[in-house]
Amino acid sequence: MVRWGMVIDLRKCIGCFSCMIGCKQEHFTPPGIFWNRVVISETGKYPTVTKQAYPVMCNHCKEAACVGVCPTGATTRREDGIVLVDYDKCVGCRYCMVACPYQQRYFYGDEKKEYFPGQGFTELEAIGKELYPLQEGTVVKCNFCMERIEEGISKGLKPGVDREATPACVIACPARARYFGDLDDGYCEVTSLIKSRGGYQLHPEYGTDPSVYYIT
Amino acid sequence: MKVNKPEIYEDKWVRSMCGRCYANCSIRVRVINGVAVKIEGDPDSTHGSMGGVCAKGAAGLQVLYDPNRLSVPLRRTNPEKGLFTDPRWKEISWEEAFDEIAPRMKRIISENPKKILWQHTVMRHRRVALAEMAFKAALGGASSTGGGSHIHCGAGTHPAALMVHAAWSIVPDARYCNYAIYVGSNKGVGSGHSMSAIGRRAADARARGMKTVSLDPMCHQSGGKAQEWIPVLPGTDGAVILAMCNVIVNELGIYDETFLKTKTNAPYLVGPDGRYVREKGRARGIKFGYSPWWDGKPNQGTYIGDDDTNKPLIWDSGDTAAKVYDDSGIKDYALEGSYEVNGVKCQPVFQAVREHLKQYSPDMASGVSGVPAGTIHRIAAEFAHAASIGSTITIEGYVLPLRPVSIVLFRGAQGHLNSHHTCHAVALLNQIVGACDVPGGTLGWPARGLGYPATGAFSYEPWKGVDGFLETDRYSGPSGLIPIHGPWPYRVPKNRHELTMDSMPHAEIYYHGDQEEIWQRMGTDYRIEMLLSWGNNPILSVANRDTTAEALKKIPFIVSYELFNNEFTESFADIVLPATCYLEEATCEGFTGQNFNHTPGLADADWCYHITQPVVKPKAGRRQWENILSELADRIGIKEKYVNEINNSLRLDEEYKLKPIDKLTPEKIADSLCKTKFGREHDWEWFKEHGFIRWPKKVEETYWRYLLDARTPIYMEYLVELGEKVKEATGDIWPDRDFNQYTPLISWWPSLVNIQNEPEYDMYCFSYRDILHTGSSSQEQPWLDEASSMNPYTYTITMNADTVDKKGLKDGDIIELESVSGHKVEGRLKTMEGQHPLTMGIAAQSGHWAKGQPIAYGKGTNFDILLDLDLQHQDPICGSIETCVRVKVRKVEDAVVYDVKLR
Repeated sequence: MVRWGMVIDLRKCIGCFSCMIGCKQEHFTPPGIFWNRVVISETGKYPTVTKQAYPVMCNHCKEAACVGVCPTGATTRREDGIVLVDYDKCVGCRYCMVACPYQQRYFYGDEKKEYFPGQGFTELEAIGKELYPLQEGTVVKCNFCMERIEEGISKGLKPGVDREATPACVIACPARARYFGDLDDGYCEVTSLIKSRGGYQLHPEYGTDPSVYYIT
Repeated sequence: MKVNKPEIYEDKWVRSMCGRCYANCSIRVRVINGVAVKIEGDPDSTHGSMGGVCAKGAAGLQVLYDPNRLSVPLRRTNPEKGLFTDPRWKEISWEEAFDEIAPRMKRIISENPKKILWQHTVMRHRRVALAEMAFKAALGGASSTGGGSHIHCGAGTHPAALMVHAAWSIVPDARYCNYAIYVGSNKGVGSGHSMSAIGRRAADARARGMKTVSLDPMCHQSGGKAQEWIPVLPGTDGAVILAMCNVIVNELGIYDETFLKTKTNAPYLVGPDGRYVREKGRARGIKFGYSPWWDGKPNQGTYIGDDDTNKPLIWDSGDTAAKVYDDSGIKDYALEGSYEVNGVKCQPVFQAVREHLKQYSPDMASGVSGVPAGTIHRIAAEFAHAASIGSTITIEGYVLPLRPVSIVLFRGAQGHLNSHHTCHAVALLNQIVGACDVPGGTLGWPARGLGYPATGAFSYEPWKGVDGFLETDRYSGPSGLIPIHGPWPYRVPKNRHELTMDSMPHAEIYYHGDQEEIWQRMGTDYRIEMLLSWGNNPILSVANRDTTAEALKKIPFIVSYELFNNEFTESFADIVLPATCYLEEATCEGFTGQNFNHTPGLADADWCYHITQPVVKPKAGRRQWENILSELADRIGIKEKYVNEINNSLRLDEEYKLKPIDKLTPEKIADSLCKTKFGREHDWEWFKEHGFIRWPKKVEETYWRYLLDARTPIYMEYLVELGEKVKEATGDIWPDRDFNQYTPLISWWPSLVNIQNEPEYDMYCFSYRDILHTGSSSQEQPWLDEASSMNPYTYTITMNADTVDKKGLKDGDIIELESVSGHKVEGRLKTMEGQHPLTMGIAAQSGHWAKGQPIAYGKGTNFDILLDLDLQHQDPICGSIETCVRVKVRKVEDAVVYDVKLR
């Protein structure tokens, strides 16, 4: 069985927000909606300080809190580990947004919101709405670029290895800090990195078993 | 989920180059049904991250499709000019615009072409190379400025890098380096300088375990990526580095003897006057015409140094005799001791340097910089030991020294009045351990290229020149300005009564607060009558905007070629011409790639030559700059000259030379250039399809140091003579210039900010390159705005948390900063642990208030308002501007910033 997962190397990440904007391009997400974000903070006390730049996204948890709370069955976890919202089933109750301990879900409430307020949709936004329509009144989030994965696999490509079949944020990263692959494959790059560099998940105490790992 | 996709009649990827900063990374852009929908890095090109692209690059789509883009020429109808005036734009036709510009231009050039000032962004440097330089030459000359370049450019570091690495800038060799020190530099984590290329290489190096140390007032971009952040007070980096040199040489006794003896001037004998002891006495200067690569025209002049009949001497300790430095029978070079040669008491340079360094104890450096003496001592020792002097590595058959340590600096460290010395201090430390252009050490942006194999295009290399020193012709400016950006040898200055002072920087003398006094002292009998600007916003990006405004008010006619209206156009432009953006343009590299684009090092650093091509058709009304120049050339009757100058400056093959009857489109020029460089089959059509051409980089191109018999200075002997000559030529123009700094011994001098001790002005405020922004050009893209709002520091003014407490302030307060000169800015306070307690940081050149950029409007603080621009704020040798400001801080209520109410 495949379980898609990601490793983010914080030693390599330069906190440039390219993943966030690369994702926005891939999915034409409207203003204020981020399937990828970067959280910048610092730890320690002067002069012993460490800057933290954490790229964060949906963790595609094995024990996803959002799946259990969805009253309509719109949010499901697929066999390959991708946690997915079916917009046709989503009624926009936003229970999942409350339940997600990582705050990675967004309510898409206003399809008229423009990037240049009051100036209409740009050609880019207009075509985006056709190429990648979201449904107003539903909850949206990262889907691990499942379209890229599925289309890639159908062409015989390998996600995480072949560009076309790999999530857009991995492709976008100029520091090449992101790795994608099958967490159930003990010999691939992501699992080796997790083993060799002590990969960890965010908030393991929640018992959600995220599919996104960090290495430092 | 059901997705009803529209009919897709076009879906293609177009290969091109980014235009968001001067790194100009390779990109590929996906176009669906005529709309550019995605920008990625090109995985097959080494220019950039090899697949990724930074946020600024990705956000280029929002430049392309910004509804605020200009698409019609505009003419100012309000005769009143000045900050915050309403231009009362009137739309005009291109014909009307040319009618305004061309006759004026014709009249002015008949009087003196230098009355026209050309101002261009440095972000698209290729374009200047392609046609603009030729145009200016066809006019018979011109005045030029890279708008805002003095505050982000390397006035200090470029000359030092040229002399020591034959390159524009320096970077650690990420492939083999194990210990890298970044001094006031966001290389690879900010914009410019092959940003994504060196960013990816440094990331790989960190992942494999390279230790990085950051000497920086702020633990954010570079500091935030370092394993060890060492907070330092601005202006004092040089003291810390010289103390490290002292510890290494005098205490640990570690140095690369072979390197010093054969690759530097360490063994040259110097007399009591600080000058080399030569065969026949003092250097006589050399007369020749230096031909810089970019126009090939010999720059006649007298240069510092002497010819082969009067070489510097060394002491051969094997033969106990003085010999010329390159005598074939030298048994061993003495680095120490005292000698008497030709009746002159003398000592080797190294002896003098070593003694001189003793004053820079870790305690002394600690006292001025705030870096603990123990830390200075420790990193010095770590650096020296990590250099593994004596070790070698074999790469593709070449046995080369392995020196896996590097120290590099950039804007932060060199933005002070001790810039020249600080840059050379960094070079000294690299030279002491022999970590220059060898595996693991400090590399120049490629200093040597053997060229494209089939044609030899792009071959260039450094050589052994005057007095045995490393020379390169890569960057000598046509004006021969010294020592700015010039390679060795430096030309003796002449007072030429032109608006840019000889011996002054490329500097923004056009915006100097004291420009009129300077010009009067120079006896300059003309002034700027017309300003032609593209991609520039000098109101936000030069210095204090009132000073800049005063200078602009004196220029009768201003044309700005722009994507958007900005503070400059709205306040001062008479005519605004709507520009194409890089995604709508055709250009290719003239010759500047090795400054900013080619990837230094080996492995995934192959040579690539790129074109920029239109990804989508430009909207009607927008024109490419080269097309405008072509039209102007026709209208003012210089077409033939212009064509000749293009042919000459681009060194076009006879067969591909342009003819005056040709329609000079950028594609046409680029086609000729591509074929000249790469052969007939590689024409514009070929490049449009492939985007770039790539060929392997060789070991001997990257690690050339031991393959070339040439030396570099650890002792700046030339400064003694240069000082005398500069004083002679320009002493009356800059009377209180600090000539003490013209000493050959690399020293630390307190900068202005280090001696302004009025207790009220207790804080040091500086600006830094935020990874999200390129100067003032990137605040208008909504994606970058969203990211900037997520980053707690981008739009705020940062201050150390304890200092905030002590001052009774709190996070989120609106504060006002007032400089010693009385300049004021306001902004929102952000507390930070990772900030030196006496410093404050402001990102980029934000703080827009122009109506033409509504997304950027009111975001962030414009640091440059605090900057003074006059001779008192320039390094006396290289002209670098003091870009740190002493300020006092107070909380304000209900502040109005620009004309935007903050609360």
